[in-house]
Amino acid sequence: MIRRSTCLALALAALVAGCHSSSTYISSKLDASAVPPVVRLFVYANVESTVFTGSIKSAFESTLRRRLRACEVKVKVLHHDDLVLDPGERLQQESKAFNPDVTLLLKANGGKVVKGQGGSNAMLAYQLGLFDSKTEQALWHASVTFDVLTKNPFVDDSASGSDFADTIVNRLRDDGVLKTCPKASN
Amino acid sequence: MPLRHALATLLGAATLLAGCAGPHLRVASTAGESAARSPRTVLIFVHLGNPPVDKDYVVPFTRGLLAGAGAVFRRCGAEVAMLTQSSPEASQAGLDERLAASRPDALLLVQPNKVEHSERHLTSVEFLARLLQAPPGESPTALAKLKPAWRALLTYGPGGGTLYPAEWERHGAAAGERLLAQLVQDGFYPGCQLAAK
Repeated sequence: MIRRSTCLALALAALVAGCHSSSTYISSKLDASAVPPVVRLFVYANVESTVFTGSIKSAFESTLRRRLRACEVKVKVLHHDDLVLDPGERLQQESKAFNPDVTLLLKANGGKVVKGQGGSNAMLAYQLGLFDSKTEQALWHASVTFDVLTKNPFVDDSASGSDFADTIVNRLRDDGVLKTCPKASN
Repeated sequence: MPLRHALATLLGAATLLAGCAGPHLRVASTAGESAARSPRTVLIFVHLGNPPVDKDYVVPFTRGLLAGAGAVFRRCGAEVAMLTQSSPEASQAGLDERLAASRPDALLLVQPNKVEHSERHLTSVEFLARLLQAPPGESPTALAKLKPAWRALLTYGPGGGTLYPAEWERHGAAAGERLLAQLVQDGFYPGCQLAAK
């Protein structure tokens, strides 16, 4: 009996381990009647927090790169650094060097983080804006809410970070911004 | 009488414990090389966020922070003016108006950047502090025209438990002093004695 319950517990643990525990909600709007073809995309991500860090952040970036590559888009991701004296100047320099068609800005827009025994529960808000890099015309914008449980032994933080990136790329595809994405990609 | 005595002892112990729980403060910073090192007039602007996060702590903590930072600026020979606001829309207009009126040599902007709670208490706040100055030969009349001279991240942890307004204020003052100590350490106000005489 003891052996059976141990087996059951192990099976349950195996089933639960590796699950991600996040939900990403997005609402978006096209700001331009026509979006130029996106071949080179510059992403400036001001998303880091005590929750959006480590494996969530790295999985977000790697998934974003992988999904955009699948859409035949060359991408450069630059993360905001709070200790850079003039972030605007750094953004301009890096963008100029990459020469993108469009720039995607991701900005944290508040939220709440509650640390408990079973990890950190967070409701994080983000604002996204897509701009024509040459004319600076606004092309698309979105609001994202990321509900996530992190630093819990039964939760895969990487899956949560990937979920966040997938939601953004899917919406850019569905809104017709990324026209070269494979239809089958999730 | 013994009950009264016991109560007094308990109260005394509680006061002692509360007094012992000091704030946890950590600062990281970057200084611009071409910045003026001893701005004579400084406007300190604390932006409380919208909506103000954790009102219980924000108001007394901000009061303490302004007092602590202001005291060190004055000790270093600067004249200080202060401004706090809670709405970003109001802040931009109000700040530009104030800048145009007072034309300080430098503006110190402090705003909460990241906030964390436990299920019951505030556990950590990261403040972003920026010292901005007008380009040489120009007068600072609007926020957009100012150039970054120094930038710091101040991480504050209250140390747990429920704090009273006076304690938040004391922690805020310590945070303000710590922030300014970093500014001086980074080469601003050379020769300034940080400790109060």
